[in-house]
Formats: sequence, C-alpha cells, structure tokens
Amino acid sequence: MTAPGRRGVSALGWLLLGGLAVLPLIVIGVQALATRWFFPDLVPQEWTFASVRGLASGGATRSAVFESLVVSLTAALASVLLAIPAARSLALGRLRHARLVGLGFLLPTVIPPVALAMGLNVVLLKADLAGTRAAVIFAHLVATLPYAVLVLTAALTRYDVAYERQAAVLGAGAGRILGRVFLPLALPAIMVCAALAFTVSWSQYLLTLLPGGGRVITLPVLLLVASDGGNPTAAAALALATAIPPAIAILLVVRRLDALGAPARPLR
Amino acid sequence: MATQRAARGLSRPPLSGPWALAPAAIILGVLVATGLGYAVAQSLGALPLAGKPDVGLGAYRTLLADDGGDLWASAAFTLWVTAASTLVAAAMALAAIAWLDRPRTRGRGGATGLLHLNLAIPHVVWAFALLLVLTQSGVAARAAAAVGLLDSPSDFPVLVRDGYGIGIVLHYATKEAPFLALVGMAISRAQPRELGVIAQTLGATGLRRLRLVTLPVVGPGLAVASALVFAFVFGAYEAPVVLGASSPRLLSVLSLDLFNASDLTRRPEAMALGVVMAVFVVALVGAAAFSRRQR
Repeated sequence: MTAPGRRGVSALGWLLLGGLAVLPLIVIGVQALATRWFFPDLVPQEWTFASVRGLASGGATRSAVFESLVVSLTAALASVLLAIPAARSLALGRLRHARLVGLGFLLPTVIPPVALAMGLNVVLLKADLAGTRAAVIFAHLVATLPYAVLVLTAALTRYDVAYERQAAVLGAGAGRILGRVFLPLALPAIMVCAALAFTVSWSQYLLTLLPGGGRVITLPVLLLVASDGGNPTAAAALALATAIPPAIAILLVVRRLDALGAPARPLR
Repeated sequence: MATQRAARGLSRPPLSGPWALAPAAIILGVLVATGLGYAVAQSLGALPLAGKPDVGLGAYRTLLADDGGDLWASAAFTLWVTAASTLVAAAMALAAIAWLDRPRTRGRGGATGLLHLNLAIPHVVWAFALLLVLTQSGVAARAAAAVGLLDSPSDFPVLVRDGYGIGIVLHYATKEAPFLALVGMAISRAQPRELGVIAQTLGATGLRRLRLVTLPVVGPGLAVASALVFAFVFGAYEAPVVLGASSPRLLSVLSLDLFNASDLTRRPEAMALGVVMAVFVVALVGAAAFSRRQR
C-alpha cells in the first residue's frame, strides 16, 4: 500500500472509532440542549438549559441519581470484598482445576437475565423482600461479581507472592500480610475491579426492575420509560446523567485498564 | 510460633485456600439456584401465585403449541438478530485489531481508551442515542439531506423499529465490537513482538497480514468471547424495547410480556420460556467451550 493509502486507512479508522464512541454522546448532548430541533436542521434552531435545570430540580431524577449511586457503589464494594478472597484463591492458591472453576464463574453471565430476574422476583415476593434496595443490590451481584472475580484473578496472576512470603518469614500474621503487603500492592487492580463492577451495576435494567418490583427506580429504569415519550430533550438530559458517572469511573482507571488488558484478560 | 508462621508462609499465602472461594461462590450459587429454581418450579406449576399447585408440563405444552403464533417467529427473529449482531461485531473487531495492530498505527492508547469508554456507556443510553441518530428524521437523515442525498425523511431507510431488527443489530454490533476488539488486542499484545516484525520483514501487508498473522493469533480467543457476546445478545432486553418493533419481538421481550400479562395464568409460560432460553444458551456456550478444549 502507498503512504497516502495508509494514511487514508488511519483516517478512516479514527473516524469510525470516533463516530462509534463519541458521536452518539454528542448527539445526546445537543439534543439535551435543543428545544426545537426538526428535520432537516443539522443544528437546533433554539437552545435551552431548561432540561438540565429540570434534572437538578426534578424530584424523580434526583431520587433516581441517588438510588443509582447507592445501589452501584454498594454493589461494587460488595463485589470487590467478595472477589478478593476468590481471586486470591484462583490466582495464588494453586488449586487443582483453577481454570475450570474460573470458567464456572462465567456461568451466571451466560444465563439470560430475564429468566433469573423473573425467578428472583417470585422468591423476593415470597420472602417479602421485593422492592427493597437490598434485593436489587443482591440481584446486581449476579452481573458484577463474576466479572470482578475474573478481572481480579487475571490481574493477580502477575502478582509476585514472594513479597508475602518475605513478610511471613519475618513473622507477619495473615492480617498484617493482607493489610500491609497485599493491599498496597494490589490496590490499582482492586480499583480497576471496583470501577468495572460499578459500571456493570450502573447499567443494569432487568435485574433492577424485577427484583425492585418497580419501586427501586434507578436512572436506566427511568430513561427506558422516558426514551419512548414525547419529550426527547428531557430524555436526552436524563441519558447524559446516566452516561456520565460510569464514563468518569472508567476514565479514572483507564490507564490501569489498558495495562491490565481488562476486560479482555480473563477470556484468554 | 514464629517458625510455625514462617513454615506456613512458605506453603501457602493467607486467604488463598479453596475455602476462600466460598463467599463469592455461595452467593452466586444461591442467587442463580433460587432464581432459576423458582423459574423452573413456577413453569412446572408447582408454586402458583393463586390456587393449588398443579404440577406438570402444561405450561411448556401451551408455550410450544404457540396459539398466539408468536413463539416460532420470535425464536427465528432472536436467532437472526443474535447471529447477525455477533458476526458484525466480530468482523468490526477484527478490522479494528488489524488496524491498531499495524506497527505504524499511532495513538493506540487513545484508541483503546475510546473502546473502554464505549463499554462504559449503559445499553439504555446507547439505544436512545442510536434512536436519535437513525430514525427517519434523525441526525443521519439530516446529514444525508444536508449533502443533498434526500429531500424528505421518508426517503431515509427504516432502520429502527423495523421488521428485520436492523436497529437492534446495529446496537449490539456497535456495543459489542469494542469488547471483542479489546479481547483481541490483549491477546495479540501478549504475543512476542517479533511476530509482527517478522511478518513485516517478509513483506506481509494488509489482508495477508490479517489472514496469516492476526487471525491465527487472536482467532481462538475471539471465538470464545464471541460465544459470550452471542449469549449476552440472546438474552438482552433493553435495546429491543427502545429500537425494536412491536412485532416480531425478541424472545426475552416476549417472555417478559407474558410475565407482565394481566392474565396471571400465563406466568408459568413466561417462566417456561425463560427456562428454555437458559438451557439453550448454556448448552450452546458449553458446547463451544468444550469443542475448543478438545482441539
């Protein structure tokens, strides 16, 4: 291929990539600030900040933001706390069949969420727990925990356990080893794991709606209803509010993510 | 005491025994077992919402008899949407890998950053964005009108809420391609750098490079990841609600519609459909994983 040809491929690649990752977000952003935006105008005729102000003052949106944050932060924290021992066991414990067990953790992610969510809805109704925040957080673990375990396991395969041996030889107990050696060394990987678990939980729809019995209203639940309605400006503002927190979570760890190759490494 | 500890330290690091798997495994096991278990029980009529239990395969019979005429159309539609989404996503991912893997491509970090960013965007948001872009009076149609390709919205092809599920396929293809691309990139980056250099020295470029170097390296891992994408799209719900037509419906939508039907006697059918879907997709992914282990 000639040099201009190569440059053409590069330009096309960047254009497609940018189009895929950024363009839809720009469209949402413009729509959120547009009052009258009809065919064939490429740019809105009138701009407004009412929708964004509406987000901040609207009771439904504010409580959905709060609900989403509480649910996803808790689910992320729980996933990390549960994933740490599991990942240590899979990566450092020299288990027999560690690979097979690791693949077993993928099983919950393969089962259609509809099937799980309907079943959980019935269980939770019988246990009188449907519609509680705790029920939704537990249900989210079906999606977040497998992912957290696999990402952390992959990260820990590069972890040098010799530091822990050193500490043990010097007389440190399990608690000190975990707190003073493991935690500082593995903290970057743990943060990546937490950020991924947060984003996975944040985007859950069915596993929020059915266990929540329609009473735990997170942003995706609200947005799915709004996306069908007659007010694209308000829906777009809601979509922005739904997109920004997980984007921030990922951008905070994106360097580490890249070094880790997550989410790809567990699938190797 | 200290020597004991030292001896233990040399044998196994703390919190890494098989029992350390227990908390995560038990919680996931309980969630999956109760969720699926209750779905199975209700599909068999064992736990009715009202009245006495009447255990049997009645719900499965009613479901498969397909009086509404929806089931088989939905099943075919689901398989088409799922297969098309997976294939298009895999093809896009391969193209991205082939491009980003070239020795000359710059800004690889920025590119993977964009891919990660796409992954972080919730499906509902993505579906809504595509709706704004792809409707007949949407942004794509306006861009086409601006360059004089069409005069009125009706000249623009129907890409959302269409009978073929094109909008849904576009959604999952664009949302899953970055995931597959990242999987492939991670695999290819784990290979020795010399591989690419040798290929270049021997004069491989473009498609030959893709066919002879990239594909053999990333192909197997990409196949497994594609199986996971297939499973995900097969059970997905959000995009079809936003971008799909009311008929044909994807199986997941049909199942939830039965679940939410005002006629509560249809609930066992909803559960039966969910169970059938779960069995099908687990068997499929299991077979894919197993056949790969054999090779």
